[in-house]
Amino acid sequence: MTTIKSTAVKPDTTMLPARAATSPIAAALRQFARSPAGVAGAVVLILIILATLLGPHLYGVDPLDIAGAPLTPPDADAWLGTDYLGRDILSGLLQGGRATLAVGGVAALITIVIGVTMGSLAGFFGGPIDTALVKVTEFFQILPPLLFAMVLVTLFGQSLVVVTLAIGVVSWPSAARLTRAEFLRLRNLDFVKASRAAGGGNGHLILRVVLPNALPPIIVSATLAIGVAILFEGGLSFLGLGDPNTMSWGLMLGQNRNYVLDAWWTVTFPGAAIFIAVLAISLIGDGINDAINPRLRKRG
Amino acid sequence: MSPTWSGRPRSLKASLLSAALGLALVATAVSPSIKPALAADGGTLVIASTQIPRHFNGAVQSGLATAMPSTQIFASPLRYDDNWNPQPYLAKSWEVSPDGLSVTLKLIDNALFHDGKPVTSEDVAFSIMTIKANHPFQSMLAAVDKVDTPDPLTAIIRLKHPHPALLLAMSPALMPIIPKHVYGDGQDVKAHPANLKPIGSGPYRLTEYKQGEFYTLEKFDKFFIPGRPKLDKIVVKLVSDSNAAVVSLERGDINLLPFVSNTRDIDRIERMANVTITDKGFAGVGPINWLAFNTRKKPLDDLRVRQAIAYAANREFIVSKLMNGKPKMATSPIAPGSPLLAPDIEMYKLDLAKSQKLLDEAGYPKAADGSRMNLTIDFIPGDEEQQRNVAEYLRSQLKRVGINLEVRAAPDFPTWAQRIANYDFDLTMDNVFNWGDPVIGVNRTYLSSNIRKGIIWSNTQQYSNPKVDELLAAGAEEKSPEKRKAIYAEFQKQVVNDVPVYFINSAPYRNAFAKGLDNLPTTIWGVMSPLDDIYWKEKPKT
Repeated sequence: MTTIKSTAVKPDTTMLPARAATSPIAAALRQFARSPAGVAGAVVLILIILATLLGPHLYGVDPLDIAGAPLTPPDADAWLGTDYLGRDILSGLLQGGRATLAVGGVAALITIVIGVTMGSLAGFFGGPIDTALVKVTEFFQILPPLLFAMVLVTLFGQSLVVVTLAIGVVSWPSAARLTRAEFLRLRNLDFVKASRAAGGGNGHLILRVVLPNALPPIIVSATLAIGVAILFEGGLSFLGLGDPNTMSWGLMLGQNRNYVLDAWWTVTFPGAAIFIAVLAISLIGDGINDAINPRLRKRG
Repeated sequence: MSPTWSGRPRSLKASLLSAALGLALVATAVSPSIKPALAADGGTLVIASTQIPRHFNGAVQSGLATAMPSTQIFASPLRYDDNWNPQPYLAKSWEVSPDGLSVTLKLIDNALFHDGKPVTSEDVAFSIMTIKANHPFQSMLAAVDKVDTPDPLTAIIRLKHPHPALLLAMSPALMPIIPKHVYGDGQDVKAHPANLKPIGSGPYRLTEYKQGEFYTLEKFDKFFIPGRPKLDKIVVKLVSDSNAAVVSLERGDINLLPFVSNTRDIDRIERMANVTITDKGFAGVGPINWLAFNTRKKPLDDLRVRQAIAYAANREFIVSKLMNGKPKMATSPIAPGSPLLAPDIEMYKLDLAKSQKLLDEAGYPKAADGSRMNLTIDFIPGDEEQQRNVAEYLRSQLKRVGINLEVRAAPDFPTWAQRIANYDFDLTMDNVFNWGDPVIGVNRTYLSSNIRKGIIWSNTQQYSNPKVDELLAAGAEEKSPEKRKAIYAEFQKQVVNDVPVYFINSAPYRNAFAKGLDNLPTTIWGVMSPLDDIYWKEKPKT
């Protein structure tokens, strides 16, 4: 029995549609390159990441340091002006981008890990396990996400780690539902049955057989989750629940919002940064969607 | 005692009425456009306030929110002018005995409560003992032993020791005279139902209160000062958004906006053509914005470390740049505007070299990365300009001398208060009121006997200096104003030297009035004193 299983599994996986192409990733990349919006988004995002990684070393002003008089408009010394304490806006943007993108990435990762785990278990097993997990998902889904995140941050303290965890914890239900739907669709298809008949265990079926085929929409959703998490961080900071010790775009926006009438530059630049970053990520998400959508692939 | 007060107020009202009628007749005959009822119609004053009172009885509740309505509803023995001079109010005269152990009040004979009963010395005695037992400012009347009432218009306050602060404690905001026949029914005064339906003897009666929305004060027509109050009605709208209140002021929807403290709001109001804004009216409250140290926690138990932080903090920058120069600088435990403020004391002018040297001497040399120590700073949530911004500024500023400051945000006031009252902090921003006399609002912060864990605005710095304790004890009992001033000057010098607190600024409170109003309340207690003299010189167009 065991010998049959081990020999049967290998050819089985190679027969899976997602792995049938010789290099699906290369194919997807080729397809992605044909989407101008996606490429533009990717270029912009790469530029932003480079700026946040290298910028602080090149610009050399501490974003938490008082660099000049408060609320000075953009000039030769402070290219984008200073905020209400006299901190340099440009250096805040460069340094703050790290925290913002990190929060976005990590929170999206948390969202996907929890969401995919819950969704795949529920969708694959069905029955009472499905019912129980769906109930849990619904419990989290009916709580207004921003309010829920505010409660979590209020309870556990205003630090970047808590903010990131809170965003992840409140955002996973949609990923869970998406994954569950994919699993429900896939689990009774012939190749899954075949794999099961060949002796594949549940873990093997979930991770190696169904999940790879459910991935395309999940990848798109994960990309978009990064953008949503960045907006979330901005929203929490705007409401005064950001981490005051780590510069981020959301924090800049939130702390300077009272000065919007007197000093437009204090909120315009961080706001524009968030806008551009989230837009770029959305475009990338669209590009990936196009790239891995089979119908579009045939057309191209 | 025969009530000599019975006839007068009615006749005043009657004469006003007939005068108005007569004027109306003449006016209609001459020109119909002249408004006839001016003499009788004092008009309405609409106030917006973000200070929401829990109830209206200032005898058992401190704070601006209760003080403003409480001083309209209840009269007090004395009131004050712009220069800290006591003025007769319910007491037509007051006399301190030569030994300082008793104060004799002679009451006016025509004061009535809103329910028509006369105000007697019994009510004064009852009020004083109630305040002593229930008011949060325990030191205010702690020296009072008892109150004798030899006749209905004489009250003699007997003291355990001389207590010069007593005269200020008889201010409207601190000593409302409450009716014994209402509050003396055996119920707990702090939770008395009459706190929300108060009966006082002040110029206005509370006629309507919609919890959290508004309250209406109407002229008490038997008020004991003839011709007052000049207004007919005061409506206080309770608002949560100060921006909206500023806009309403500009539009003329409200006529008085008290307790404005945001410097951008102040700037905006100063530019309004139809509004007068003044910083007078807060000398009595004496609000100081400061940085407090936990003096028993390492490394802040070392005086040199606290002094080093003071030398690095740069009060001038905070006041002139972060707060637009609107507040006055505060340099000592006594608020600017008080006659007790000592002149030449250590200012801790910005001196980074001296700060570094002090830290070196204290045994905190710079590590390889330039840092010496890690500390945290808390702040009261809600007031961004006075509290959060200063905390954030100090983080940058102290980094220059090698102190890494972490800003700890608190989600709400109780969280902050809990941390500070239980000594779970290194540095914190705080905002504390003087309340006129050191014995009332200053001592609590510095007396070693007031280190009481769990109580906010006690000596949460855990500061203890026997010399300061002695000076405060002496000042509390010193009868001669000059000697008292000298004692408090010494006290200020000592505290400023010990730096349990680094004083930053006097909170930039302002009151803003519509232009047509005259006789604005600019006394040391401002709008926390009877608004019986303010009137419409020129009514707003409606």
